[in-house]
This record gives sequence, C-alpha cells and structure tokens, in this order.
Amino acid sequence: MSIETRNLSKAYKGVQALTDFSMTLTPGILGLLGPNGAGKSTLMRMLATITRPTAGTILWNGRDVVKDPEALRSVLGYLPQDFGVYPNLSAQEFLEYMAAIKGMSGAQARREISDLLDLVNLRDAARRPLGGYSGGMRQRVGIAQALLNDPQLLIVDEPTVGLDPEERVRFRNLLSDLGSERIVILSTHIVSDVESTATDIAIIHKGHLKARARPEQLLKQMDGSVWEWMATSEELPALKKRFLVSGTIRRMDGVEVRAVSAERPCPQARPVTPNLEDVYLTMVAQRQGEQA
Amino acid sequence: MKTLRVLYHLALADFYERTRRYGFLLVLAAIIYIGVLVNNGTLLMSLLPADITSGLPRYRGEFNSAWIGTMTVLWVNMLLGLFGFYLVNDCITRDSRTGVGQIIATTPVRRAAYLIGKWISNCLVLGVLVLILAAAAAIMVLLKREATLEPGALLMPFLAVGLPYMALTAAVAVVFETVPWLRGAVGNVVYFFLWLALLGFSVELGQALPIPIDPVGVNVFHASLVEAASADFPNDAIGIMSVQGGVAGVQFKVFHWAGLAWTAGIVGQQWLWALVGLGLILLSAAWFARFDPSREGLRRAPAKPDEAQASEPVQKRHKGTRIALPSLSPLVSKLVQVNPFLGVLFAELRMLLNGRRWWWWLVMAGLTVAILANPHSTAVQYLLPVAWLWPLAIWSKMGNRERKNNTYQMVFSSARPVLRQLPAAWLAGVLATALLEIGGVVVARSSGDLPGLAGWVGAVLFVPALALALGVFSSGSRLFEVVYLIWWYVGPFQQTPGIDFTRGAPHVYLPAAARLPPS
Repeated sequence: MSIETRNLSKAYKGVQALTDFSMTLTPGILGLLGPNGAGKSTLMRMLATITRPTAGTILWNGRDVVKDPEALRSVLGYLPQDFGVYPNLSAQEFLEYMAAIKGMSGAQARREISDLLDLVNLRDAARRPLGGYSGGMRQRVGIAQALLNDPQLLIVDEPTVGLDPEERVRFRNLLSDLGSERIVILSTHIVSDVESTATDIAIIHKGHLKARARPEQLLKQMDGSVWEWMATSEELPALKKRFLVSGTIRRMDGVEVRAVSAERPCPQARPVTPNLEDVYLTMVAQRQGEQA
Repeated sequence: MKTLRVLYHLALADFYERTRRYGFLLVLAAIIYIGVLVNNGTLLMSLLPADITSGLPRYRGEFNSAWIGTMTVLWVNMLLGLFGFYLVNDCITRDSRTGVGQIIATTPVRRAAYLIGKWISNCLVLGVLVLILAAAAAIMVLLKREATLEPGALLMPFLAVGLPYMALTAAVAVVFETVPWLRGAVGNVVYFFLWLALLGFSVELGQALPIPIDPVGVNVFHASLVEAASADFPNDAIGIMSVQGGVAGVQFKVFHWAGLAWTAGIVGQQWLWALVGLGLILLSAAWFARFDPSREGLRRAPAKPDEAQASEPVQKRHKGTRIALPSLSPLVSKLVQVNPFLGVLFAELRMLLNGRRWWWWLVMAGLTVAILANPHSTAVQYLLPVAWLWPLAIWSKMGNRERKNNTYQMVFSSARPVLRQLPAAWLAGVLATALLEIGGVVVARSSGDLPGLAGWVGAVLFVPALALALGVFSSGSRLFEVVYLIWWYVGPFQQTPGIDFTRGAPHVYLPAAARLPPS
C-alpha cells in the first residue's frame, strides 16, 4: 500500500500554492507541519481528489489518481479543516447519509455506525439534531464519518481542534492504532499532536517540501542547540530580538527562557533536550531568514 | 441497487434538512394561505369574452372537481414556478457553504448521481406543497357544494400538469446551482426573466409553435374549456383564458365542464418536461465542479506579497541575525480616530461596493452615460428601470453579510451595534445608491421633472431600507432579491402608479424608508 506524489504543483489564478512536491508514503502516520498558507491544505485536497493538480501526478498503489480518482475514493477517509454538518439531521442520520454516498451497504453501514458512535463517545447524543452539538462534538462526528468505510488512506486536517484534553488523548491513541496498517496524513499546528503520534514528519513552507524525516532524526539535528536559563522580565524583549525564543515560563525569581542558538547564549544557559516545537520554529525561521 | 441506495439517501437527507427548519413552516403557512385565496375566489380562473372591452360577463365553470382541480393547478404552476425555484435552489450552495460538499467530493458518488439526488429532493419539497394544495382543492369542492367530489377529475391536473412542471422547476434550480455565477443575485434575476418568458410562451405561443412549449399547461385545458362554454352559450364569442387575482364586481356566466378527456398523449407530453429537466441535470454534470475550490472560485485569495512585506518590518531590521514573528497590521483607521461613526460608515461603504468586477462597473458607468446622453423619455422609459435593477447584488448584501460571513458574533458583541453599525449600514446603502443612480437625479433636475426628482429621493432612501430590513429579517439575501425583483417588475419596469417607487410616490416611500430599518 503506497501513495506517491511526483512533481506535484498547484496554482490558483497565478498564485503558486504548491511547487514540485514529490513524496512517497507507506503505512504509518505522516505529520504535516507548516505555517498558515504553506500549502498543506492544498496538498491534502489534491490527495483527497477534491482538486486537480496543475502539474504532476498522484499514484495510489501505482494507479494515477488524477486520471482515475475512483481508484482511491472508495478507500479514502477525509476530515477537512473547515467542515460543516446538516444541523437538522441527527448524528445517526448524517452518518447513514455519508455511509450511503461512500457506497456502503445498509447492514455494513449500521454495524460501522454503531461501532463508531461508541468509539467517538456519541452514543447518548446520536439521535439529537447536530445543530445543538458543541464544536468538539461536531468534530467527533467528523472523525466518525472519516472512519466510516474503514479507509486505507486517512487524511485529517486539524482533527483535534475543539476536543477537550481527554478526547484529544483518545484520538491520538486511535490515530496511533490506525497508523499501524494504514496511511494516515495528519496536518496540524499543534506540534504536540504530531510529536505523540507521527512516525514521519514533513515540513512545508511556501509550497515547498522543506524537510522529510523521522522525528528522532530531526531532533538529533538540533541536539546541543536548545538552551534554558533564568532571565528578568526586563531582559525578555531584548532576548526575543537576539534569539529564537521557543518558550518562556514565569517563575518566582524571574522568567525561564527556552531558546535555540548554535552557541551558548549566556554563561548561565544550560543545554536541554530539543523537542519538535524547537525544530519546527527553527526551520520556519531559517526559511524566513533566507527570504529576508 | 447501490446507485438507488445512494439516490435515496442523498434525497432523503436533503429533504429532512430542509423540511425540519422553522422556515419551512412559514412556507407551509404561505401555501395554505394560497389555498384559502383560491377557495374564497381571490385567485380565480375564467374565460374572457372575445371582446374584452365590451364589459360583458366572464365565464367560469361550475365548482366541480375538474374545474377546481384545474384552477388550483394553474395557480400552483404560476406561483410555485417562480417561488418554488427560489425555495429550493440552495441545496448545492448549502453543501458548499457548510463544507459537507468537500467531504462528498472525496467519496465515490458520481456527479450525475449527486445532482439527481438533489433534484429528487427538490421534487419532494415541491411535491409536498402541490399535495397540500390538492388537499385544499378537495376541501373547496366539499365547501362549495355545487358538485360531488370526484377524486380522479380533481387529482389528474395535479398529476399530469402540476408535478411535471414542478420537476422541471426543480431541475432548473439544480442546474443554476452548478454554474457558480448563477448561484446568487444574478441567477435569481436570470430565472425571473426565464419564468416570465416561459409564462409568455405558454399563454400566447404555446400551441402556435411547431413543438408545443407549454410546461405551465395553460393550453392543455384551453380548447376543452372554450368548447364546453360554447356548448352552454352557443351565441357568445368566447376569447382567451385568464388566470388572475379577483376583480371586484365582475359578473360570471357559469358553464358545465366535466374535465379534460385525459389521454396518454396529453399526459406524456406534459411529463416530457420532467424528462427535459432530467436531461438538463445530466448535461450539467459535465460542468459541475464537484466542490473543487480552484474551479469554483471559493478559495480565499492569499495576501499579496507587498502586503506581507509591509506587515513584517522586524524581518528587515534583523536581516541575517534572526527573524521575529510578524506583527499584526493596525486595524484602527485615521477616520475612526476622528469620528467613530464615520469610521464605521466608511467601512460599511467599502464593504458594500467592494467585490464587483471591472465589467460590472463598466456596465453601470455605461448605463449612467446612456441615461445622460439620451432624450428624457427614452431615459425614463427604458434606461432608468435597468439602472434600478443593475445594483441588485449590492443591495442584497445588506443586513445579512454578518451571518453569511459568520462575523456576527464579533460584530454584535461590539459596543452599541444597533445605534452605530445599523444606521451606518443603512447610510452606506443610501450613499451607494445615490452614487450608482446619479444619472436619474441629473436627468430629473435638468428636465425640471419634479415628481421624478422627489421619486428619486424617496427611492434612494427606500431601497436600502428595504434591503436592510429584509436582510436582517431573513438572515439572507434571497428574500430581498425576490421581493425587489417583483416590485421592480410591477413598479419601475411596468411603471404602475403607486408601486413605481422611482416616480411620484415619495409621500409613501419616504415614511416607509424611515420605518423600515430594524432596531
């Protein structure tokens, strides 16, 4: 099972959203990271067969999806970032509707919907109109519809938005389980979601693939470049101008600063273990620096 | 089998979604009211004498099942042929707006199946309304007590003439939604004229053409009715059929009409229109973009490079060292610092006028120049009515922009939205209208046309007030578009006294403008 993009490009009325994007995915979870407008949603819409690339090809198990999208659609699950529901349908009715248009038989649909309502913890609210659901509950309906046909390729865009911490942890665990035998593409700005689930990470910036590696490889690159030290509140603005500050925590005796720097920023700074947030911020900042 | 299951669920979900809204109860109430109007004779059907200026009595059938069924169906086709379209042509737009469409786009459902599912849903909604009126017709037969109830004679007009035309209307609604530029105000205007044309064809040319174009069904009954009336009144010269609102003091001669001798040919000819509708749907599947944002123009334009640079001054100062995150652009304009109301007014005006393409402005400018360059009579009779229709898309944004763009929570949680934002929105509408209709005031002033001048002032104040009121009331643009289109057609276009808000009735429209903006 594999999905491959070859020299994928997309332009919207002269604006280049994605350029020459090549990548091959096999079962596992790919975490897509990138700032707003980087081209993540465009890439996912093309992989989900919603929009056609301006150039390049997408191959699903060797079959060209651009020419024959049906080859992928029957095994695809997609949760878009901004999605809505029919407010006057219940979750049960909405999922029955989605199951039918995904081509599932009645019996299979009833079985899957029942399981998924338990999985996303919506059994008790399944008969209520979706218009009365909270944002997190609607998001769970979205997750359920994406999983309806037991997809081989699951594309989820900001799936944990609106979920409470408990549901977020449940969903992360679910993704980890799914990723063992499926291809999961997870796009999010919540780096900790990627950190806890992704087996592979791709960083996109301005429509280009900037990095593609396993999390541990990316973290290794940053080893010895992340520092923490105590500073005063008055020093903080100047420090933010000098260093890439990836975190600050207020303490009784001042502010604990976490920053990325190739060299020790000050004598009292101590090296700490890098995390993915440090990696991501460094890569994006480097890219902006190159352009500036 | 799988396709049937898909169609069933597509249609059912859409039907439930529409009929479970409170708004649908209002539609049902309106339909029941139409049934009452047909019952009490306010809406009627008659045959006119050949010489309509003679003042001779008109002819109507006795209130039996056939006559009442036919009369109700012709009213159904006239009214639902227009309002039914506006009622149902939001099923694809809703999928696009809610984002459900982009999920549907990733499923194996085919374009044609999706569109046919939506068509069936439209047919179901309109079919329910037709059935309600059929029930009202049955009640009318029982109440009038002129003849016994004959279900076959009563229902055949609904089954053979009413439902196929509703199927065509439902199909046209879907087709309009597959074309992005026909989804909004432009589509509503285009359909209005299409409906007028279709009505004209049905009434006047339906049987004269080599291929009968009569989906409304007027000519299906005409010959049979004239024959029946002539049999009862052999010395009278009987003319055309009239389907219109009741006219006070009109005398009727009553004739017996047992109904049309329905043949497979007549029924098949009318149901061909449903097939035409299905054909249109299948044709539109060829260009339906299937929610691809790059083909539908739905994607928000990214920030221009120069704007992005302007918002990142820190980058330049620290070139080569490290990059700080960009700061946000200042939101408070200088105008707001001078006077908060002026700031809101300017912003409202900008939002109202922004978004029009260059050719839209070119047509508006061309119209204005033509109004100024042509003789007064030509300008008033032909050009000014068009100038009062062209900005429809601008007015129809008023009062519902916040709901449409989902900004209402931010806007209405700001300080004094009713006192500040609403008057500014109305005043912006007035200023925009005055600017766009400048040709009218110049013509009226230069020709000393005082009623025209007073009418222009009244209209400039009234139209934005109406747009704002209906926009706020309905949380959408369609109600205003439909009301304004009909008002414009009867008023400025047909120049009906009193209803033409651009001429001669400022004593009506000025106070109306003052009362309309909601608070």
